[in-house]
Amino acid sequence: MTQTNLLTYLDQHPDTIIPASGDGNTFRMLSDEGFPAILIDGTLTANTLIAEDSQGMLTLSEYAKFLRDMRLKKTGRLIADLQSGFGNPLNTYYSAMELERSGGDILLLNDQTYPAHTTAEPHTTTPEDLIGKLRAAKDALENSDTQIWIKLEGIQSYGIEGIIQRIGYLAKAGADAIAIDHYDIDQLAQLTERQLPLPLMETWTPGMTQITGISGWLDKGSLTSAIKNAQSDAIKLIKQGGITYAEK
Amino acid sequence: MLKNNKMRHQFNKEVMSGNIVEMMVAPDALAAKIAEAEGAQAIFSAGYATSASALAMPDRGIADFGLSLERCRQIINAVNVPVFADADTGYGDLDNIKRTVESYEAIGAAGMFIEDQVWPKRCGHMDGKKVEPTEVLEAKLRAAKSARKHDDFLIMSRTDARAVYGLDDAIARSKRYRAAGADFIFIEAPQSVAELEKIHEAFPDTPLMANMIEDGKTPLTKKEDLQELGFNIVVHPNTLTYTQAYAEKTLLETLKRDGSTKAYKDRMITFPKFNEFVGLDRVNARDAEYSPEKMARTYMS
Repeated sequence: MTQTNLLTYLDQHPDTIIPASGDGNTFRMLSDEGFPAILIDGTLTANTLIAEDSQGMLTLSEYAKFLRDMRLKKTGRLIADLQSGFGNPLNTYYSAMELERSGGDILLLNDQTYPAHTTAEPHTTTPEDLIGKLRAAKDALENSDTQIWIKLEGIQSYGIEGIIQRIGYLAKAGADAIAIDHYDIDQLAQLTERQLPLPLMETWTPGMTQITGISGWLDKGSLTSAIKNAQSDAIKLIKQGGITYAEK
Repeated sequence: MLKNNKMRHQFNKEVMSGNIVEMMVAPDALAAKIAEAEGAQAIFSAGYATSASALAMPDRGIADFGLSLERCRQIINAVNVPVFADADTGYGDLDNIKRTVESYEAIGAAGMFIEDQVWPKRCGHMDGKKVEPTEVLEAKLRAAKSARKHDDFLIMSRTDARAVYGLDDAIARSKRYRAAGADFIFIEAPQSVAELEKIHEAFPDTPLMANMIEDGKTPLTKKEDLQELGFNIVVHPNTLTYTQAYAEKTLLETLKRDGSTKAYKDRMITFPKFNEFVGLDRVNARDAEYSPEKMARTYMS
């Protein structure tokens, strides 16, 4: 599947959810299931590698190593988490180069300030800085098939008109697609009513209503949440068993 | 053509050209960049130099796969000439061989060798080496060939049997390794020019590598003479490591003696020249390229 085909595929299958992974076991299971792409999510990888809940705690080199390891296990498309570029546009240039070399087919750059945080209300950067990072990432790419998708996380602060303005700038600067995070369903509905110059993705969590007009849905870690819940139950069982044993 | 493919193709073409390829072992990315600037046709990311540079340890099987792979990757990313990899024994059994080949191929290495020493291995010119039965490396070579995705990713067999069982055994093993799929042959530590000649006589049509290690078992032989002897690659494994170590030691002796580095300064690269060499101007220009003012002017009007 080529990069172009992935966007085409999503356009033809608008309910597609692209799963996210940050650990080898989940990745391996997903790899066998024929998804058109897998997102190697920064937050989930930070959970796995350094037991941290925020993506910004994970450095580029730590993340890129994991990406390379997963790349060896799958020939299909991988979406790599470029976070907020791991610094300024210059850092973004070298980070994009590293993630492409490490096997990313699509690099997902968000519009947070550096370091990026895993939070419902992130600080977002200026359009100028974001465009600089996008241009730097584009200039760093060796393979013309590699794409840059931009995750816009500040709709609650810059609003519908602000996000539409950003999308216009980003289209002009060469972004391949947009993903929106931290939205509410009304905002999403408003966005789908507008003519946008780029394919529109949304982040996805279980139970969310999937509305028409969206090109694709990016999972935020539902499998990891399910695993955590199962682990929590298993831990309770172990603790319960230990108490029972001690009481005997 | 993407860089990785280009480098593999270039190395294959050079090795098969009939002209000897000079390959410098680089302990790190900076040394590789210097070697490239000074005309090295290829770089070798090899165990002795990596053990010394990364661990300050001898080449005794302490540097593992992860460390060696990462060092090789850093070197590949720093240069635009082919980089060949020392994969030691392949770091385990046939499953490990598969991962080793896939990993070195993925980072863009031009090829790699695997050897028949017992792990933990030793530098080929150290005493006390032990080798596995021939079948072990034969199986590893078959697994390596099966795992590679690009025919241009060259796989070399290395035998250390010369030191253990003599040259005839090393040649006999290498013939079996070639039959098992080795693209070219490396017999480590022959002890005379006559032995180098004998190796070529045994493999008149197979690409061969010679290892020119200072104070090693093999007589230091000129590149041109090695080409005459029928070798396709000459590698200098420790030259940069020893030179670095000597320079650092003598500088620090000077500093200790004089209280400053003034007397040594004529043997150091200068601040501006070093910055120029590592591309400071290019990085600064890149930084300026994405200024907020320029982005606003170009994309927000």
